[in-house]
Amino acid sequence: VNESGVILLVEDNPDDAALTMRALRQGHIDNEVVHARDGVEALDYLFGTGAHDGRDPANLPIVMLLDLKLPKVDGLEVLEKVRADERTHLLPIVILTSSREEQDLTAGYRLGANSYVVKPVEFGSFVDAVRQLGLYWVLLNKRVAEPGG
Amino acid sequence: MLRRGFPAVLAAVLIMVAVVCAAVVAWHYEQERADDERQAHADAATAAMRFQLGAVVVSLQDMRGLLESSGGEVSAARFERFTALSMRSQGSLISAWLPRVTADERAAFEGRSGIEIREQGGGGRVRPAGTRPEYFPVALAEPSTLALPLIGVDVAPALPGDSLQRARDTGRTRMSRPLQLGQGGGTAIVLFEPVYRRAEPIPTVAERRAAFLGVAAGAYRLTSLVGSVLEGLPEGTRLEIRDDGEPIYASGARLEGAADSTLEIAGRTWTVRVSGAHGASLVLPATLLAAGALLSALVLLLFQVAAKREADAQRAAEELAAAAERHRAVVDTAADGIVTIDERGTIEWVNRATEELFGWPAAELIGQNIKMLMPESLRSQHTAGLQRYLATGEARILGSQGAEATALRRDGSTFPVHLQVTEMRLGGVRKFTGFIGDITQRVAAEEQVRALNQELEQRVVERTAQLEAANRELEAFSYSVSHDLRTPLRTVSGFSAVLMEDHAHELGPDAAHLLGRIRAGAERMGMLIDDLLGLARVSRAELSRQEVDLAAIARRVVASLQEREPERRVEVRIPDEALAVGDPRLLRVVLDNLIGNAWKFTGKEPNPVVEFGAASENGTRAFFVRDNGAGFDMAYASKLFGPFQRLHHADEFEGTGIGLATVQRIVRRHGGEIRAEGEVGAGATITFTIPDAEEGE
Repeated sequence: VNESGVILLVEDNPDDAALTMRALRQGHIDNEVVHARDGVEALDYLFGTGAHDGRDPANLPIVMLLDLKLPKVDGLEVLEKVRADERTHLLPIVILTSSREEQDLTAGYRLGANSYVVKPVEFGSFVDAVRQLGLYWVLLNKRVAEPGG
Repeated sequence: MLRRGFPAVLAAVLIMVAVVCAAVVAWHYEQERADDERQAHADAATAAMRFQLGAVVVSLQDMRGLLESSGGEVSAARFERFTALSMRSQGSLISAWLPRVTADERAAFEGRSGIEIREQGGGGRVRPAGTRPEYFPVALAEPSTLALPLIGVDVAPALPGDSLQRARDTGRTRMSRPLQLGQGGGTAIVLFEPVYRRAEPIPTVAERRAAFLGVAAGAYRLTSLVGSVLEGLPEGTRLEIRDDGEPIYASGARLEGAADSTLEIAGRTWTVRVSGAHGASLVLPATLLAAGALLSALVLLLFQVAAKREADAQRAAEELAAAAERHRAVVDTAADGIVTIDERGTIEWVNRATEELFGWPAAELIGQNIKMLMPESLRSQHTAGLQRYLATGEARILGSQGAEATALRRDGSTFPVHLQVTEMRLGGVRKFTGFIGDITQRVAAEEQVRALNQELEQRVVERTAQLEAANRELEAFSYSVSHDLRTPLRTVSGFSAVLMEDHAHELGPDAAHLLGRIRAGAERMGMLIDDLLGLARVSRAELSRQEVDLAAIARRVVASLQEREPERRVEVRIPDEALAVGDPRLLRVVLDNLIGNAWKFTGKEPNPVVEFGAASENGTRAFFVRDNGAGFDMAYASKLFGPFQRLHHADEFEGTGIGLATVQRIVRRHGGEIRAEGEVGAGATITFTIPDAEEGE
């Protein structure tokens, strides 16, 4: 429906990544999904470093779906760094995780997550959750200074 | 007492004997005095008698004078006048003139005087006198009324003795022996006074006989003579008169004690005896005896009092000695050392325990300064303390609880002591008594306790660290489970779904069904993981107690259940308020589970009822959730609260079997108890208590 923005999916588990992307597609969200398999990849993409050297950091994804438990640099660190950087601090970030732990929830919101969604085990529910998420953040949410409308 | 009493009794007896002796002496003295008195009375009586008789004799001598002056010839009238004046006044019974008439002169006399000479015959008759050498007829007699029958009667033969003749021969008054008067007339005496021809004294008997004219006679009643004598004697006195030993008069009854006095008169000897009245006085001896008895009794009493006092003193002394002995024993057997010092700190006395504690014999301690029992380091402190105390009079000596200090033995070793000091005043001088307890063992024990405590604290620190590490590990584990266990399940569930969606046409209907079961299994495992994590969270979570209205929570739980299953019609009973003090978040979990269960297990009940309520059990707040649902078999009640325990089949009621385990853990963390009651098909009641102040876990 809307192809104007990239969805940045930060997810180390390929199964979860595949299921998330399937769920987005089933929810008719056809935006490009950039998949980062750990925190480092996500930060490289956002700041135009590493493998993504030269990418313009000003070109923010429409939303970042961020898992917490990640190799190398975990989700909370990514969150912290994104919020700390002027270029990215307005990026909508949805924590999409298996963790129901209170401490994660609290830390996530404190560090500036816009939303916290627990991935349901049951696939139907998972698809529901991801679709609603995508609908909200991609279609309904009005972003600040949307470049190019 | 007997031994001691003996001298007292002896003294009393001696006193009694002495007193009896004195009484006897006094009695004798009294008797003598009485005798003397009686003698005096007897003498007085004799004198009175002599005086009386003397007066009689004088009156007879007067009559002699009258007769001699007339040569024996006195007219009857003159004689009457004379006797009326002189003789009667002397108590004379009869006064008479008896002239001597010889046989030759009888006729002449009878002729001249007209008086016939008669005599007393037998049977009381009077007859003319027979022939005798001489007669003494009564010529004149007064009082005439009484004496008339006597005129002419020669009384000489009737007279006892020879008093008449002796009067003639001696020329003096002579008295006859007393004679009894007939007809109760009593005793009488007759006195004869010779009458001569010449009035002057006649020297010889022969001449007297020659000049003899007759006798003047006076008869007297003895009683009338004695009357005046008796008057001079005290009341109750007996008077006896004997004439030459013959009793002639006695007044009153016989009495003890008598005094005699003799009286020589008119040629006879009378004995006058006075008795009675002045018997020995018993007053003095009786007084003496009484006084003696009293004195003896007093002596006995005094001795007894003295003996008792001595016994008392002895007993007091014994008691004092016993008390002193007891005190000494207490002091000597005391475990504490006891030391008395003076104001300068000089040791005055120590008990046995002190010797044992310090290793010094008492003799070597006494006279030394108390500082010798202290280590060098404490000596100056002691001196300063003692001086301050003496200067300020501060009532506190080391405090009422005493103090702990270090003491020095003879061998130079030291030991810990508990020291208590009291002040006392002996004879106005201030002294101090120190009680010294060896607390070596206590100090050692305290040291041991301290070491043990320290070890314990160390162990607690270690255990806490271990526990904290374990907790951290558990948290990490939970975290890991939360993240990592669920992910593969989602993979299983997710790809099963993908398979069904994308490849349905390649699979038979059985395969689709099997894939469905795989998805259900994965889903169920996801729930198990969630519940297990919830259970673990309950254990780890901090308990924050506050007042919570469980009724309000219950209403919210029911509302969410109703929202999830809007089609269900369940009668719900919840009170307006049900307060508890506990962690609101955890209590919400409790009610979520219990009311959720009730909701669930009444799912097949046509008229389901779910009730929440508050009660009290033994003063503790209790709450219950009751339903009329499937219930359970009480035989399995104990399994109800174990994790993963289910009493129903999964196809009957869904659930993981962890809910009640979580509930139980929450209740126990609040210090409460939980129990379940139920019956298959008749519902269940879960009751739990939440104590107010109890600290959980």
